[in-house]
Amino acid sequence: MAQKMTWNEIRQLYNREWIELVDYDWPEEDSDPSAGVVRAHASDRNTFYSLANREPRPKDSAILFVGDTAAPKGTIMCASLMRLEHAKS
Amino acid sequence: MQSLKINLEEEIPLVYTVASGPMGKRRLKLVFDTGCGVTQIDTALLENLGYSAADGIERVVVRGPAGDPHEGYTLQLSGLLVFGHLLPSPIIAAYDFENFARFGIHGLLGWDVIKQLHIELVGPKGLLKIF
Repeated sequence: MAQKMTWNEIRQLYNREWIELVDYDWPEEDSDPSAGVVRAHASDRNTFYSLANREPRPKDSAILFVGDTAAPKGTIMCASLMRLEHAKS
Repeated sequence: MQSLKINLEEEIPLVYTVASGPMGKRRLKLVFDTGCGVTQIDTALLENLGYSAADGIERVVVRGPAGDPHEGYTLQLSGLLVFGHLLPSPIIAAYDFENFARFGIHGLLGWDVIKQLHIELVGPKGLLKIF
C-alpha cells in the first residue's frame, strides 16, 4: 500500500497528472483534499482510467486532475450554454 | 448554512460532488455551470463507477453555441451528493469530455441541479454559501 501524502506533496509529485486517491481526507468546505493515498496516476486520461479500472476497485475514491487547469494562451474556456436534445433515430 | 470555497485561480468555477454507482462512489470536480441545462458527466468516469452505455435511458445530442452536435445518452445515477444535499437517482447525461479532459474537467453541474438549491455566491471571496 502506498503512503498517505499531504495535498502539497501530491501536487509536487503528480503535477499535470490524473490521480485516484483512496483513504483521502477532504474537508467539506475545501475545494481540494488535504491528504490521501494515490492508487493510480497517469498524465494521459486513457492510461489513467485503464489503471483506475483495475480490480478490485475501491468503494470510495476521489478522481482528480492535479495542477493548473488553465487553458493555453489564446484559448477561452466556455463550457456553458450547452443544451441536450433527444437524438433522432 | 454551509460555506464552500471555490479556487479563484481556476479560470472557471469547479466544485466537488460525489457520484455513486455499482462500483462505489467517486468524489469528482464539476464545472458550476448555470448555462448548462442538464448535468453532464464524462463517460470514462461513469464506466469507472460501473455504468455503461447499456444502462442508458435514451440517446441525446449535446448542442453548444458552435460546432457540430455530439451524441451521448442519459443515465440514472444511484445518487449524486452536491453541497451536502443528496439527490437520489438523478438523471444525468453521459458524454465524452475528451476535449475538456486536458483541463481536468469531469463534467458540468447544470442548471437542473443548481436550481434546486438555495445558493449565494460571494465571488470576490470565492465562496458559495449553501442554505
